[in-house]
Amino acid sequence: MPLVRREQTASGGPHGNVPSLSSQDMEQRRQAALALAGDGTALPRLAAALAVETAAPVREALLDAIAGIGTRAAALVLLPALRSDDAGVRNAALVALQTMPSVLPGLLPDLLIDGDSDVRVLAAELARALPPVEATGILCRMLEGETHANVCGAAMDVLAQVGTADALPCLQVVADRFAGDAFIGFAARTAMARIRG
Amino acid sequence: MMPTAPPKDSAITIGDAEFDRICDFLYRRTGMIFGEVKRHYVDRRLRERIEASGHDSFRDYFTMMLADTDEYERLVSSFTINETYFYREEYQFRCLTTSVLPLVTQHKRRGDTIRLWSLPCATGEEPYSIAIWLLENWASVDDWQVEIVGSDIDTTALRTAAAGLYGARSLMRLPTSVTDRYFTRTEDGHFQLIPDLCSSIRFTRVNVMDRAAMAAHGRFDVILCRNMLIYFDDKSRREAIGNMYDCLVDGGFIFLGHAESMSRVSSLFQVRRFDETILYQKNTETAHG
Repeated sequence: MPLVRREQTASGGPHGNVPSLSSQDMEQRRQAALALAGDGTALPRLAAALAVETAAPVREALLDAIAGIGTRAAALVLLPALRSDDAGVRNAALVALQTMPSVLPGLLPDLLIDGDSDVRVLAAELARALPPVEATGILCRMLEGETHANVCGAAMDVLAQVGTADALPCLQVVADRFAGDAFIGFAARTAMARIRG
Repeated sequence: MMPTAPPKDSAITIGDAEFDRICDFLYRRTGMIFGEVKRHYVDRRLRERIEASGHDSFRDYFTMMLADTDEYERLVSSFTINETYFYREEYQFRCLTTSVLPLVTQHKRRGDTIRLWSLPCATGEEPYSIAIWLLENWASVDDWQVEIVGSDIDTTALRTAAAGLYGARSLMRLPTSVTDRYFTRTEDGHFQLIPDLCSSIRFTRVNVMDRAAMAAHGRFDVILCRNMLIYFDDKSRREAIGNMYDCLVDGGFIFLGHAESMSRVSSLFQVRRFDETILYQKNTETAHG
């Protein structure tokens, strides 16, 4: 029978050498980042590495390591990545930030009025990680003054999933404000229907 | 369409809009897709969760569940088919032999080892299925040393797996010729795997969230991780995927369950579309994205 069983592993695994964030080897840099996950004292080193890292697997490990620290200071290190020209970087930062719900309420008010509408779209998506009542309140306050259709659409998409009944009046106001925009009307009606159940 | 009639001992009714909402919720949160053909299945499990959590309406239950992570997980678990059997999702085994292993062996020399990891392996049906499928359907199997490891967090399941004793229901998808070749029937109607096959699989306990324990298993060419990630939240799923990434050789493949995807939570893998299924490949070319 060509099936073999070995009690010992065939390789030493990914932790064979002492890893370093500045290693030439991508795997070593990734392992170094993972080893520092959640270590608040390593935040400056992780931030410096994130600023120059171009390899996606290492970058993802750095983002996770920083997110694992879980502090406002750690979240502030991740925020610039939301403005990256690289969609992969933006998405990776978004996912990492969504794992830090305790610090998001303090960051979202500024992000939701950011001058860059793309950042506001991502900020609306970040609210998905909050408890429903909190997400509803934050997104409704944003929708009251938001004029960009894509941002409103993103916020309503999140409300459709996690919004409470408190969002219904706000959604109606947005639908009325964008009366000539078929997409916004559809998104608002969909969100309201889902919330009403 | 009329709501599905509740069971005699339940006054809870699931309306059409509620059915749509729970299906949409499950799809967006887990990737599991339930349509009208699954109406009875969905209604039954949903009513069970509503009653078990002490609620008497979908609306109250759904509001509570959105804010209660534990209940969310219980709900998702209730929709997961826990039962497993030999050759489950057979098309993936077909993809393994027709598409994946030819790619895996491209950069190996005849006689090299090919390592496959069934994670989680539960009571062993999957790793044994891999072994049987390869022996039955891969003409090149004798050219390689195939090492199959089955791992799970549940030691009771692992003991069952190592024993290799199964009921007839577990074998329902196996052709009789295969059953005859690899099993012997016991006096009480069960089926015992032949010793050669039983002893060819190494079973280990591992928690997929434990990076060091995962790394201790070395690197694999293929990991089958089917119907596990749907139990995790995004953060845990991302961590688990990262741990599996580190346990793959460059160019290695991950099989997920048919309703699972890692595209939203990780950019570590390249999506590969084959005739039979979609897989995820660790690709060093994407390393500098």
